[in-house]
Amino acid sequence: MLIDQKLIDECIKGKREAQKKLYDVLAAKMFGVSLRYAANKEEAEDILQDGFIKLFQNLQNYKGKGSFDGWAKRIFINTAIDSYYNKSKSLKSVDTLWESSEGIIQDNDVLSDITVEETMRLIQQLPEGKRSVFNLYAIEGYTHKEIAKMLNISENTSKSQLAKARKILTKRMNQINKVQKSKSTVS
Amino acid sequence: MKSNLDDLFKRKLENVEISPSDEIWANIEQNLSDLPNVNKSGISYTKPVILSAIILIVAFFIYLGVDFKNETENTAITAESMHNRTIKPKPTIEQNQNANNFSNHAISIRKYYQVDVPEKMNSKKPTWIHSKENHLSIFPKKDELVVFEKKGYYLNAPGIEKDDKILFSDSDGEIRLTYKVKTVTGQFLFIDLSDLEKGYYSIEIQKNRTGKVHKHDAIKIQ
Repeated sequence: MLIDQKLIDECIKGKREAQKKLYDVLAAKMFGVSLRYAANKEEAEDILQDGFIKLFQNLQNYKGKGSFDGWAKRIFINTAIDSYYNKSKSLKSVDTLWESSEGIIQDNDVLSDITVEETMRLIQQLPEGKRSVFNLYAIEGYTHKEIAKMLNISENTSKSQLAKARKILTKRMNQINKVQKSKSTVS
Repeated sequence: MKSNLDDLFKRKLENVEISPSDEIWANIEQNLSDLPNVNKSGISYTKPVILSAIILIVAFFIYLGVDFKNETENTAITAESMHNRTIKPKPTIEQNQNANNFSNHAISIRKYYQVDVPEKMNSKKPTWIHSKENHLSIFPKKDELVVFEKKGYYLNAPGIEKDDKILFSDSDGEIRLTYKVKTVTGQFLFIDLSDLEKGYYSIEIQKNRTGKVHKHDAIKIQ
């Protein structure tokens, strides 16, 4: 279903039916985005819920420039970033546990052999800050300069976090690759 | 520089769609029902906000005028009333929310506090504060303080649930007030802060369901 201006106008007027329609159109896609930025399903649900409330509160600010999907997605990304700030202090100690990971991908096809859920889990297992940077850079396509501004960090920190995120993901993928190969050898 | 790893994940996850549970919409709908009814007419809420601000300012100055007159008439009474205003913090209090007294509180202002949100905190846009201004204004009446948003200010705490706790700790780290959410009427909370002395407080939200703790920077009550 397309999102037209009439539907948006009705949502701005507070028509619940229209709001539900808009939710139905966006929910699955935005839940996919939320899951990427969250550590687990519960956190993603919080981001989704808060994001939709912000979206409905700010609909009148959408001026029709660019796609509505893109505008909405930015709200959910910002909500996820807000959530990251709320937790950042308590997660610092966990963050350091991952920093010594290294390695290169031994088989690029490994990702095509695992499910979306497993791929999502790889992202979710990244420490909070690295997960945000990896999502923003690798998947959304933001530059380090833009990420630095969004996360209130330096560009160098953004680059460093991305490099560490890649190392962690590479290591995890190689582990999965080994397991898959050993399974195929046994069978 | 983009790596092939980035592309692998981008291809796999960029357009993933996963349906959330039905409970999510139910929660959103409940939150939307409890929001101030600012957009339903489709009219900008700028004018009502300005009007409300004018009414509040006028009411405040009327109160100041009455208070000033009393002070000039009887200095002894003023001294006594000032003494009575001294607030002793209690370690823990719990109270019910009452979200239906918005208009009453907006009119009957007996005291005025302002809570400054430090600039660094504002830049982080914490989700529980939804304000374009640099401060939240708190208008207490009797034993209750009301934190309003926009028309006045509300404390905005989306995702807050029954049995969640909000802890206010002083600069020594001692918990001065524990607010336990007994009923959820939406994302807006009414919290009695009148037992807190002036000063800086850090805030923690303890989620009962998940056990998670959301920490926030210090606020100042002055």
